[in-house]
Amino acid sequence: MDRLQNSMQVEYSVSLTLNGEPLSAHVDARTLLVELIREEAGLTGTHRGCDTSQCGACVVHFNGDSVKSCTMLALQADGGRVETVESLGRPDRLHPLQQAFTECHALQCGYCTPGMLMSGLDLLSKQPDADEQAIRDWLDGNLCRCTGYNNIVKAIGQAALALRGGNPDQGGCVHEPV
Amino acid sequence: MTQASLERRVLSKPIPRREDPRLLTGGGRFVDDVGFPDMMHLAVVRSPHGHARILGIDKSAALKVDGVVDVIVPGDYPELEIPMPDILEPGTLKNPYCDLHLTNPHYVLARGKTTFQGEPVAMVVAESRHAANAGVQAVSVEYEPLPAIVCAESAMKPDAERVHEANPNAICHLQVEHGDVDAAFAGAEIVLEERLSLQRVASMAMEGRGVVAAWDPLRGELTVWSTNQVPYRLRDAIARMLDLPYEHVRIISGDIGGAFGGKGLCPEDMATAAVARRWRRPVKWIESRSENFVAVHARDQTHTVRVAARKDGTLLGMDLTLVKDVGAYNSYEMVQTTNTVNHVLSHYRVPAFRAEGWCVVTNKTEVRPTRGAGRPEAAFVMDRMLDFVAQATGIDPLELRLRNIIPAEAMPYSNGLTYRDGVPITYDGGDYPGLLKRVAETFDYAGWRRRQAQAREAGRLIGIGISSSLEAGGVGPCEGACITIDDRGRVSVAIGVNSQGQSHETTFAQVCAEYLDVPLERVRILNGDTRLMRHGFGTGASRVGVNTGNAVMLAALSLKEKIKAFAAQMLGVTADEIGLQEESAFVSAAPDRRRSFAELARIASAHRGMDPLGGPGLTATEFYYPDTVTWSSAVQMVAVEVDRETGIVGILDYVMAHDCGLPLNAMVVDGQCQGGLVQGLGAALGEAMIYDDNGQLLTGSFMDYPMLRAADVPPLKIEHLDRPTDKNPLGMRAVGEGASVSPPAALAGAVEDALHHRCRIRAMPLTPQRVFELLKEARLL
Amino acid sequence: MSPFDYLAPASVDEAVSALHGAGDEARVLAGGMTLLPTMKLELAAPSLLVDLRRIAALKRIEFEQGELVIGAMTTHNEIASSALVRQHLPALAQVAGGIGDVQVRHRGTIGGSLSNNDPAADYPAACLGLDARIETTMRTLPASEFFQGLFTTALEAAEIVTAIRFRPVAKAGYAKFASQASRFALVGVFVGELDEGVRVAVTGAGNDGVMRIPTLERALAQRFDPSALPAHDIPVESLMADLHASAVYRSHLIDVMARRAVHACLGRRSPGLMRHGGFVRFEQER
Repeated sequence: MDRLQNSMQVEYSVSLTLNGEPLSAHVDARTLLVELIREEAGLTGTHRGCDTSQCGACVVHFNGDSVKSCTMLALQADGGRVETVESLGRPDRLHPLQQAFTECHALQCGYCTPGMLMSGLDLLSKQPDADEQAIRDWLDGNLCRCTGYNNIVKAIGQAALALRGGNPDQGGCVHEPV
Repeated sequence: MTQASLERRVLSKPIPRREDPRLLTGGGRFVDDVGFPDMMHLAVVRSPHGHARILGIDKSAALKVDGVVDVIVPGDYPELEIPMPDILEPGTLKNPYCDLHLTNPHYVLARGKTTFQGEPVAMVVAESRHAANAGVQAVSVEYEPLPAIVCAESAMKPDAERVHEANPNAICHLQVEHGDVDAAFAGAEIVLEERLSLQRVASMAMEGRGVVAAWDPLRGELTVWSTNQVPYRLRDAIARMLDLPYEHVRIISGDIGGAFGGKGLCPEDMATAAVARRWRRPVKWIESRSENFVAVHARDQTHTVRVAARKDGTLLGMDLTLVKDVGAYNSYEMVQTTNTVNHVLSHYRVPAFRAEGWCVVTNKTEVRPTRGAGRPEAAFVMDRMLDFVAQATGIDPLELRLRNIIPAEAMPYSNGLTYRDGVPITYDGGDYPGLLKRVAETFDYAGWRRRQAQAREAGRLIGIGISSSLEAGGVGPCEGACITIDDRGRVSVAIGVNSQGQSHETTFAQVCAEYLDVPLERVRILNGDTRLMRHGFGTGASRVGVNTGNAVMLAALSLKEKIKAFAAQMLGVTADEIGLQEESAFVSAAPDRRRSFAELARIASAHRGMDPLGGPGLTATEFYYPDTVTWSSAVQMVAVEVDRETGIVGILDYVMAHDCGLPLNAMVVDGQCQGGLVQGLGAALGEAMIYDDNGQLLTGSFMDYPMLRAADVPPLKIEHLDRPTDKNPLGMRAVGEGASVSPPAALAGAVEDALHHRCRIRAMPLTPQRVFELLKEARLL
Repeated sequence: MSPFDYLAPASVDEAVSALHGAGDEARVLAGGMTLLPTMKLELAAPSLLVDLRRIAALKRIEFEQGELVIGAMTTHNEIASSALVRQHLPALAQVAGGIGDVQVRHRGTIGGSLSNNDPAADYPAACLGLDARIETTMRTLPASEFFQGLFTTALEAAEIVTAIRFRPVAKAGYAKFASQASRFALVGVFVGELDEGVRVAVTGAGNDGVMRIPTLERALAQRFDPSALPAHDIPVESLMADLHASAVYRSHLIDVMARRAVHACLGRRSPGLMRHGGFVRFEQER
């Protein structure tokens, strides 16, 4: 991670792994991790919704833990491993958590959704047996204004069941397929 | 003609959403996702004062900041010297009650003085966001602070200091009277009077406002990507400002992260467009959350209400005076106050009613209609007064409501009032007693009363609250839909509105698939682009489901007729001999003689036979003009427990039942109810925009404005009664706002009940501290 | 944010040199959960950030010579989930597990939090309540000398917190009443029964930051039970008042949270409802 002086602008080099691929860039020290992800790497799934690190729209994974990418400098992530919502699945191949979200109608405008997914994924990787209260408590750092949260909590619960190999239909969210 | 009784194939089914695959995988296209290599950034210098004269603006230091391209102050851009348009052009008012409507011109940049904290005073254009923000920091503004006018009722006095010199602060007035109110009060055994208010809040969508504008000098066209809920108004405003033909301004909306009324026209929209045209480079403005906090607010209305009743609880009359603090500017006439007046009688018979109201300007952020738009205030007034009458008469609050409720047989019911579209109000069906009883049953009202008594013996504080709501929705003027079948059988539906989470791409596809009788996968909704339809009137007032939904249905039926007519030509029969099935037209008597829709579409592109059928292609456009609004109804009941040590309110049970007519998608309707209810719960339990005496906003971030989190929300039981209306072909009513209306009233009733009615709750929110003070008032500590 | 230079030294000595070199204009970057939002809101504009993330010596949880030693760069989550902490000082794990939200706990550090001494932060109450010793690059201080007022500590220029030392105690517990909005403590009470006596440390309430309440300590020393605590004891003049809680309310909450902290010390479930608006069961024991 080197400091470079380029005429008036001081820049630093940063290298990290983003969704499994190496990423190197020269950045102003002020560049936030969320800006590196959105602008340098062009991955716009991670969003910004506040300036007090409370809304969670920017949640990504850093070295296996969910973090708020708006409250990290890109330089703090140097040498590390970042995962964003784009690493979860594709429209034609959704991750079970994404599948649960659509079945449970756990999103409306979609703005908080990437943060909810990454937060939920972190929970399920650490507490595969998380119950409803544990899910609700885990989401303290993720705000949503559209859904009222209950469908999100259901979706994470349904995904937990699916990931443990259970029957997702027991989660009670499944609706008719298109 | 209603379709209510027909078997439905896809309409109303809880089908997962089309929007989801891209939104779940990071493929959403929000305004901040739009970018260009040579794009500039706009940032805003905002007034730190609630009220101050602007003595001078020094931009010299800002212009020297590396990367700053321009600093705009009043006078710099002549095109920005026109006021922001009002939502209702003068002369088009149909509001039957409003007899005063003064306007204060609202300029893009404050002129001479600033009238609210956060008002744009200057703007900076720069090569990067960092440079733009640095430029803003470097602009030096000299202010002479003035005393701030922060109390609407004081501001109404004739000798009060004026927010805007040209007009008194009370800029709008309404009044209405129905029945003999004075006689009702003279003859009443019980007369109660209270002062009730609902606090200022904000819609707080998770995405803030933003805009990108790009000017194409070769074609003289401006393209704008915007979070705006009213794209055609934005288009027209920008076109007029820049003296462009309307067709040369195109507003594109991809995905928008919620709005709830907070994303209408704003000064930054106009400035970004002007800068893009002047500099011939794309320009982006994205607000921060701190800016969003001072952008647009909601509610802030105080009521003095008198109710006359008999000892048996029968309501005889209501006399209501209300004052709304609209902030420094008012661009929505008396929409919200009129809504309060027209919704306050709710599900109940009130033979005599009088209302008078004012909108008053103050040195605060502008208040615009946001989710509820005057209806939460109405429910709060009616339900609080019903609860007080119940206390005064000793009648159970549920029983009292049943004694005054409009029976199902009385439908359609006229309450003697007139909606703000000028049409006399008629509740178009609904079984209000049935709804109330249904909720009472699901909630187990009798059971909760028993548990309450049992718990009280153990010293626990448990209470029950009830609130009913009406939601007038689907106001016009109209919306349109243009359905086209292409030569591969694919169906596109172009509509004139954009979505901020309402699931239009799914619900309207369901309408089209149902009435065109094609598979759902064939249908694609095209929206969020003012090039698609010639006009549209925006999301808001819970209008789009009804308006666009019916337009899609009518266009589908119209297209079917056209298909039959053209197929008849191709097959040498008359149109009534043609049947349609499985995306083909066939001769009913000889089904082997058939043409597929795809084939017909191909032929129709150049065939002369389309001359009498409206021209080339299998396409039909229809606009749906509602006569007036429809009336959805709902009831909420909540059981709470108050922690007497801390004032924390826990929720034991929360039940809602509602009737919004035909649902376009049952799952989407349920989601709207859940989200609306929780938004209402936030306003009940903590949200408040609080100003100090200097017009400084004390609650300027999520650190001070409490948003409910997942752990702050109880499970909800929501029942959907779906009784269709005969007011429009689809049989549907509105659903966007209804659930957000009742929580403040329901929670106030429940907490007061928990505290043995030894206190009176006249204002919200019920924060833990507030509940602590009520516990003291009730001598329960 | 204003522009700044950035350094991520590999050793404490390098970090201290860098801080000495830049003087007032430099700030230490730990987790960034406080500093970065402050800089984003233009409330702080350091010209140099010295990031401690590469200094391995600052990240540890060890039990040595009868003390739990926690490196300054240890995150709240690491403390909350540490088997060692849960074994020797479960109340400290509980405090750490209640800070902010999950994502904040993954990045925020104990050293960063203590150095900031936010009057509503949780660790100051735990450190004062446990008579922790705070080790810096220059000295070791008892908590009572380290905390010196609102956002003020004994740290001198270029002095960095390196570790915090805790002696395990027989009984300790924390009860926090969080602001609905910020989730910081409106009132947080830490109670510890140390060898040398009882300590009651309160955060979120005092006009001058974290404070001990001698009257409550004496009462508990007589009888370590929630019922031994006197009510309405704390004079409101010494308490903070803001939009979210008056001084009177804070005084009342100190009473309540002190009782609940003692319940926690005694291994009893805390009575009372936790989340405003959250679901509660009718049948649940109160």
